[in-house]
Amino acid sequence: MKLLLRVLMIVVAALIVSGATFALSRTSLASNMSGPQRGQFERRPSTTADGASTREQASAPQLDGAGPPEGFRRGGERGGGGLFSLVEVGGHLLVIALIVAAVSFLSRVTQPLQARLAARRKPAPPASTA
Amino acid sequence: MQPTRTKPNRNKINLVIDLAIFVAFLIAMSPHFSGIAVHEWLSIAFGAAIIAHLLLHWEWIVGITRSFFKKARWSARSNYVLNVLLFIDITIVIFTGLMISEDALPLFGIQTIRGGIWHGLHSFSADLSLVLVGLHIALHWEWIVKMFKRFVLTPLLPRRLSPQMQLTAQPPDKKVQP
Ligand code: HEM
Repeated sequence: MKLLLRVLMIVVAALIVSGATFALSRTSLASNMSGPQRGQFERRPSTTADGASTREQASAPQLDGAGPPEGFRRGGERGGGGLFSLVEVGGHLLVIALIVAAVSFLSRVTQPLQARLAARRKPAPPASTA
Repeated sequence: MQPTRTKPNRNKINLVIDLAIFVAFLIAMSPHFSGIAVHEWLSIAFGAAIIAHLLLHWEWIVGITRSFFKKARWSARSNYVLNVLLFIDITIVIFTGLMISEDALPLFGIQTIRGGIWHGLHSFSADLSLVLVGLHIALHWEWIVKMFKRFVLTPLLPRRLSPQMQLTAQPPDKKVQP
């Protein structure tokens, strides 16, 4: 019962965030974000009235220079894989590794300062009367 | 005779779940790598794993929520703020992902919105989540290294090769706060 209540609280919190996102998406601020995105899959092929796909149009070369080289693009396939995408995973791993390294370095460098601040916050021991 | 039941080690469970979440996150971050169907279903499962992750750290969440404006340490406060931001961001990534779903929701006959704002938001919040996850891992790096040594390296390495690790390792039943 306790567990169920906790799950419910998490789900409600997520629903509040989702609701707020939905509400914000209706504002003018959100419409500024709907431009072309970097590195996204090529525009989804639109479908003509008779249901036929116009994939050739959609996969026409893009001149924006963003995203993977043409040869590595998904090319409309639904599966993944490929060398470029593996490099993408490595890139994300590298970003996380760099953040961890930077934070570790910063906390090591500021350690003496943190120790001094902590010592200052501690009240001085009462003077001995002996 | 009573069968002896060993209590599952909390730190070990945390390490296994956190590792699974991390691998799932890396795969979810690269839909070109996984393909769109795997991306969507894995990310939905990822949401469930996040709920498990939060349940496992429930005491910490409640504790800091109660003491946030009173006596919590600054490190705990900043950690808490980062975790709240991460929760909001991951929720937005999953929600916007569902809004542009090409496989999961259409399977149930639910029509989704294609492109536009939702794609932009999905992409932006996913990029932001990479930074937030990096910071989240950085703040728990000591715990991760300690647990990795205890549950992965020490059992794998022959005993005589790792005297240093045996010295640093704590008894397995002692719970260490991440
Ligand atoms: C942890 C959760 C998630 C992460 C980290 C994530 C990450 C990403 C990233 C990085 C992209 C590429 C964006 C770009 O092209 O710039 C993407 C695209 C996409 N994601 Fe997600 N996502 C998540 C959850 C979901 C969920 C739950 C769904 C749907 C059920 C979903 C559906 C999609 C779709 C349909 C695309 C667009 C593919 C296209 O451009 O054709 N995602 N996601």
